[in-house]
Amino acid sequence: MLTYLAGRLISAAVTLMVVSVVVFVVAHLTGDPVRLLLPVEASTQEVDRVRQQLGLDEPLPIQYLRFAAHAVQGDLGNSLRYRQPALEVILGRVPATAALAVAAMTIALAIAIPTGIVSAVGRGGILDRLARGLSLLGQALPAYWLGIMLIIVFAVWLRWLPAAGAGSPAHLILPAITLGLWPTARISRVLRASLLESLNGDYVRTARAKGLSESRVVLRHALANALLPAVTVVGLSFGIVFGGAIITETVFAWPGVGRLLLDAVSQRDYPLVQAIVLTFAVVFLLINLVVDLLYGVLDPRVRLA
Amino acid sequence: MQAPRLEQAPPLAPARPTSSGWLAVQRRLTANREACVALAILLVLVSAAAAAPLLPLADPFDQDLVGRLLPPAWDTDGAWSHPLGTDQLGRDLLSRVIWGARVSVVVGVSAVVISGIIGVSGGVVAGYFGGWLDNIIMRIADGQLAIPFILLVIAVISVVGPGIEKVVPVLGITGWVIYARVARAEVLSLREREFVLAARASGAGAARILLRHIRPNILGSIAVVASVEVANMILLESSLGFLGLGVQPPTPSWGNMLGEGRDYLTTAWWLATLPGLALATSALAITVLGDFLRDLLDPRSAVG
Repeated sequence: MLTYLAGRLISAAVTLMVVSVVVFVVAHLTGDPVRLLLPVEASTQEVDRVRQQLGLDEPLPIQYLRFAAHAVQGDLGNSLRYRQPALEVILGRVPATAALAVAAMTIALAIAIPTGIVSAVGRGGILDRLARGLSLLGQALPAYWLGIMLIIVFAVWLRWLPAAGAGSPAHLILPAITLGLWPTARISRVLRASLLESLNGDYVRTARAKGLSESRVVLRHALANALLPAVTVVGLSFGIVFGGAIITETVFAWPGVGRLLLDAVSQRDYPLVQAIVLTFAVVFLLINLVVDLLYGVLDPRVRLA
Repeated sequence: MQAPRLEQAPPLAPARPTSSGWLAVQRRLTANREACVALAILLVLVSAAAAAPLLPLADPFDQDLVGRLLPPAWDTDGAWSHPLGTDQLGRDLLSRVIWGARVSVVVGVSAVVISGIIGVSGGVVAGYFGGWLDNIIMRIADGQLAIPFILLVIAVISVVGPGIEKVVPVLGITGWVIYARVARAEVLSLREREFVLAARASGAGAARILLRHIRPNILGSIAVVASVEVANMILLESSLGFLGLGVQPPTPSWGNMLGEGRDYLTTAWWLATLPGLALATSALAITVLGDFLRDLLDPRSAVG
């Protein structure tokens, strides 16, 4: 178990290194960050001086090594706009994004699990067809368009909920539904498929033969075995939800990390963009790791070695 | 004694679909009403996009500041001269939606072609040759998967700048991973199959094996991936347009129309609603057709 964990952490670290190289190279394709820092009329001598100060006159590999050495100590550079460490700026926005992501996943699970079960048990029936249609819709609809439709209906026409911004729980409802749409569709689809498979299993026949009630057969025997693929999808969805938050936060002017990223992009605040991408990658890798570890807990047959 | 000429033996690889195969596809298609409707929608979309300059439409760039924010024709204030109404500059919305379809089709298809070529080559090389090459290619793939796709694309676009001529290569180059993984997995199993072993034993080189024996056998699964990816790329392009990072105004794209329409939600609901409806309908149609294609090629995956 410990060796497995160590192996996974090393492989995550290697992946992270690849990510950081890519991000670093991309951020340095931009041309000269010094020109962006200084006023247009700055003299050549001044540009050279600042470049030397920031270590930008050294070869790219050296610059990367210094960046990486700082990064592992939690120093991701300073935001050009906020004139603060980028990591601090990001951490200040994390609670808003986390609240949104958790609310979205809660909605997704609360809808997807019952839907998946009903769909699989009543395979081919009206409820199943309805649920499948909805989940198809949920996977293909562009989330931000749904968000705009929700604003038009619930904020502009009905005036039940605020259209944008943050500050009260009511502000969270529309963005959470928007962001939760995709994982709802995805999870219910996968749960239905894996439940259909496990309902065909020998242990389900045995449970039925023992005379157990149908609800006990489904919930205790079939569902327990169908959860494994669903957990993978829940984990992956979490990552997708974080990515989707970028757009959803823009639609609803939600003050999270996604909104911060777009502001940083439009203000050409490259150190901040770089830091946000790396932070997302770390979160994503951690989620994947947790999902894999959960496998072992949920299914003793999976030996983590 | 004459040596047997093995390279002239009939190819052992399963052949392409024959004419009776196409008949079976037709039968399956007519039996699947959803796929029929989806195909019809896409045909209408693509032909409208292709024929946009020939259609009797208003000029999508023609501004009319007196007739601004005109609602669709079915509204009491609307007029049939502008069936879907006009936007904030008085431009005809129907015409802009149809011209916007051109952007979506072009971006979706060309991005998929680029990423398909890169990804399949990478995946085939990784799977067939293995070793350090495989390690490097798949490590890069893992690294890229550790960043949500939209985040990566936004980061790159923020550097190279917006516009269709930047968006297509960026989407194309960053979209390769899924093809590489599928192609690699297929090649790993094909590599040990009898017909490949036979080809190798008869002295065929790597290039010949890859092109003659492996390629025909992975095209099916790649086609399935590609069909779903077209929808993904169209959605991604529209997201970028919505964020102001995609195709730049005044060229109409569904994404930038949605983004501009967002400022008029209280006064002109149709500006954001109708281009989005076009986007959602086409993405849905492509997804349905992709599912159909997948079930057709692999009946076991018919999970619903």
